[in-house]
Amino acid sequence: MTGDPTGLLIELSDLRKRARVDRHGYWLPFLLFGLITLGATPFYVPEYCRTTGACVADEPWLYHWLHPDGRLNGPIGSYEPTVAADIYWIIALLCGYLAVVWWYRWRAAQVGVETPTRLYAQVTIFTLLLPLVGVPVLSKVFFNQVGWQIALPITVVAIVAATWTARRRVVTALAVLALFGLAHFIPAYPYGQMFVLAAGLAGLAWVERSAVCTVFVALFAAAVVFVNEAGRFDLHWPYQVEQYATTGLPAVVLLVGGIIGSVRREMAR
Amino acid sequence: MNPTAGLDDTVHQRHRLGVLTIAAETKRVEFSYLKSALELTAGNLSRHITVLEQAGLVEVEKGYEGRRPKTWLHITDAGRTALAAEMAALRALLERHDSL
Repeated sequence: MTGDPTGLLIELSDLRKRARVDRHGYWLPFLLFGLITLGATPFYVPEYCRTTGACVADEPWLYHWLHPDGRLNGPIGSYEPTVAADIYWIIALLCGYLAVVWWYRWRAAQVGVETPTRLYAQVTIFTLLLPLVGVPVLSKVFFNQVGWQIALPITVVAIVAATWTARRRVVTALAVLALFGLAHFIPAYPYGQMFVLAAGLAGLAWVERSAVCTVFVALFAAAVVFVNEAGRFDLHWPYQVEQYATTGLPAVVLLVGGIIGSVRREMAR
Repeated sequence: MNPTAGLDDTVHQRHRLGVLTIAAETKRVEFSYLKSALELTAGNLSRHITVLEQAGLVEVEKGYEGRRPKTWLHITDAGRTALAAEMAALRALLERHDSL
């Protein structure tokens, strides 16, 4: 290493870049979650609703617990996924989360540098668990009883107070408020669990600090917003692709991102 | 204030600065990775790490991966602060040098 300040700063920057490239491992989570998203396709086949036309009434108590305010339509006309889709996503996201944490630890043992996964873990657990427990409880016990005009300010104050001791107080409070808002909307969307995935991957992109990772997470988030919001604007899939497109489009984004990330890693070796 | 006053002798040594830079980019870094990236001998690197550890800038964790012993290192909050201060001092030094 050199002794002159300019050369020293350049060399330190090179060392930081090298360590960053060496610790990158987002390609495997992308491939894994791409496959998990594709694996959800059978749960979104709308035959059941077409024939009976009464999906929600026949659903078990768990469905109504998870979706206290019902669901919006997606790009498949007047279709609401069943509770089987909820169960699939809860198990798949939990297993995916554990696999990602294990993957980064395993990879660290191979290359010698470890990516910090705490932020990814916090975001995923928060957005996964809050719709399971927090949103139903808040909706039924708190918001419906007290009224949102009082419940909302109390919730905001509670979140700000809970994040007051964080190192980056304002950013943390805003991030938790945004995630809280997102978690509250997840049960209402037909493909809401994909928001959990998008939020977790955004956390991963933040710690990975990779341009490719960030671009594909943004594309994935855009695809997730589209499949969830399309029904509101009457944007429906063509009949030939509707069974596959809602899961296929976001999954393809992740799979392509994973393949590109993997190729880039091989080229960097 | 003279920018050189912001330079900390413990941190300013260029290999120790390299160790802190890599450690700050990661959750933890393994001894052999540092040895290879900084092109140092094991003995030299150990001495630098001991200095940083005694100053409370890094923490060292020894363990095993299978049967192979591994030494991991992670930067402390004090280490991050010291590294940021050192980088700021270096940049201030360069700016002053360029403006002369």
